[in-house]
Amino acid sequence: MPRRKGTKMSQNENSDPRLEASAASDQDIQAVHAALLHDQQEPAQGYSLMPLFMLGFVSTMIFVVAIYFIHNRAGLSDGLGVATTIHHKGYDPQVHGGGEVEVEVDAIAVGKTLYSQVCVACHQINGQGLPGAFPPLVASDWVTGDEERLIKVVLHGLQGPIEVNGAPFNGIMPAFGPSGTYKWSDDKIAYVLTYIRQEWGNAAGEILPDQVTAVKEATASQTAAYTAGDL
Amino acid sequence: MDSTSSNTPTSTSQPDWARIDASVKVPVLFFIYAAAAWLVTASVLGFIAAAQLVQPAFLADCAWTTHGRIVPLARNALIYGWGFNAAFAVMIWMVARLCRTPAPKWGATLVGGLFWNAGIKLGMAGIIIGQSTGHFMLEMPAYAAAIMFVSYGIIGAGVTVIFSRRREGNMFASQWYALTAMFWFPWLFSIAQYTLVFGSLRGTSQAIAAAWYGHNVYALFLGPIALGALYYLIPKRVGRPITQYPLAQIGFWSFVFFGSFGGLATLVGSPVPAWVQTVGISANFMLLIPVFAIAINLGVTLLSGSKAGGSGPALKFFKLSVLSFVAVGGLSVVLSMPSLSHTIQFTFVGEALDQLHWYAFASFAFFGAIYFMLPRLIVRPWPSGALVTAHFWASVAGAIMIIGSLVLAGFAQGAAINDIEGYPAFADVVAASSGYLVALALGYLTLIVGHLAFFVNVVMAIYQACFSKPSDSAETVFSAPAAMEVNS
Repeated sequence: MPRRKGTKMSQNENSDPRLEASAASDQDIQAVHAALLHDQQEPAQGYSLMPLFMLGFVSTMIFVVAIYFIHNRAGLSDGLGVATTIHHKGYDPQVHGGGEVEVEVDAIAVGKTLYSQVCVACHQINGQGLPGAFPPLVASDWVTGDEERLIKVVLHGLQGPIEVNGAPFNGIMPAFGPSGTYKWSDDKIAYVLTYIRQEWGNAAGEILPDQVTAVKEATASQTAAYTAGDL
Repeated sequence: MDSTSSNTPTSTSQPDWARIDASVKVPVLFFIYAAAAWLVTASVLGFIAAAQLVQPAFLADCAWTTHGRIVPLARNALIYGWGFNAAFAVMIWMVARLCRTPAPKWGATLVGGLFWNAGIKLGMAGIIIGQSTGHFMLEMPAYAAAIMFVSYGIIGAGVTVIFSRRREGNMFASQWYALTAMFWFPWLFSIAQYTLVFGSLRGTSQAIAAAWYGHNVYALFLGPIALGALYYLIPKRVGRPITQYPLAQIGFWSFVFFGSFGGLATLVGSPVPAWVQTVGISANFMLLIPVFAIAINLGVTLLSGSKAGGSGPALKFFKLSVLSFVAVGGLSVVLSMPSLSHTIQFTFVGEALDQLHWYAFASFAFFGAIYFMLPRLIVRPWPSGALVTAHFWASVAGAIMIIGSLVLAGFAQGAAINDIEGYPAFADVVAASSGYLVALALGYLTLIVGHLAFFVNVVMAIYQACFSKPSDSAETVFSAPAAMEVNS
């Protein structure tokens, strides 16, 4: 190794900070560093701890990251063909996908989301409705009582005068089934009904999507909203 | 100062380095001037954008100055205006110096530079009138991008000519970084333009391509050029070789390989396949290897020899730049932990990391390099020491205020919107971060002051160089350094 014992960088006359004095020439920088790389390839004597430490560090990182990657490689395990199909213009999940997938749904959580997106506008966040126009959902026989009647109201809507918990109301409940503008699926209707039947102290049973489907098929001829008298 | 050794015969009385500097003087001074002007523009636009976050009515009545246009304008001015012009200046000068070859001609490079800047102006005008493409970092319309692509080719060709005539056989770390970056950018830019702007990608894959490109402008262009400048100028300023220099090879390859995937981590939590997000997070973890290697190389060298070489802003900027490089490497890993990314993903924290990359690391390295380069190009000291000091402290204070307030605002934002039980209203989420955004706007004001000081100093220096002859020759102004000390 060329050990050029230079004098310690002399603080010469141009210590003006606006000049940014240089303390090494380009030739020196290149020659010294080339020698440092050369020494590494042909170690002269002894050994340095750094390459050993670096080897350990790099190996550890590769090991840890590989484990992390394997655990979080979702989509890659089925092969690159599947993993990259999102790029493909002709990709159709019906054809290329894995078919029916069983998904666990928390009916209360989904119902709460749906309720807070739509129903809350009239029936309010606390389910108390507004006097005269929108009936309360809390402790109401319409909600906790007959399941078929409740499903009918949400599927096809309800309008005209109605008495709930002793108070009169006169408003319009829109239809959420295929005849209305929302066109909610049977699942969605079942989830939001389960939610309102079990929230705010209500403690009625769950409503399953199949029940909604059954009522929908039985009342397929109904095209207009119900009145309280119909039910 | 960089005296030729006595056994090298030269045809003129000037030392090698002085002839090299004279040969690249015109284009490099032009790039420094353009960079400084864009920097002021970017900080003014950044201030307007921050002020609109505090006071949404500010300049919101005219479509041209709405927030949605000011933000991409500020980003484009900072990256393509300041970042690229500064990178061109550093790259041309550094490659000529390290190849020890004067540039044969500078006219084409200057024309390339003029067109590059005209392309940015055209592109920014396009954004103002509403022709933005809508892709992150590729907002400028296709016609501007085409001009920039061609002018980049001209500038790059000039550097390639210098490199092909090199008289120095040894390749130093700075050349690995500068030359590879020079060839990577056209590849990145053309692929991103082809897939996103000219459009063969649709849907989710657009987000992936944009994240890949946006991060790689930093990881494969601005970052490597900044690192190249640090590898060259730190030993030059402190008079000692790079500590553990062989590590630089590991640092280089791992930085460019893993860095190019790091951008995918910005997609965590977005609707892209989980394995894509995993690749990004894994790459950020692997980036600890180059961060460690480069920190040893540059950080220890800075600490070991910081007393040598006199005072001046360059070394201070280099120290902060290396510190930011290490900080952003560590933060990228820490913040991609699920428990934290759950809160801070898609908040101001992402922008804080970008500012750490672009400003506190890359820009500080460029500042230091320009403080070193410019006196040699004009063969006299910087016109005003006071402006240098003002620039340094305003930049540091502004960077701390901006990055600090963005981090705090991001955490406040993330915590407010994650409070599902409390039914957060959107206005409450916005209000949670608004106090910090005042600090953000003040940070940009501080930056404007600092960048104006820098710009005025650059203009005065160029004015002196144009209208008066230097009083002394280069080797009298800069005395020759002693031989480099080696005791590893």
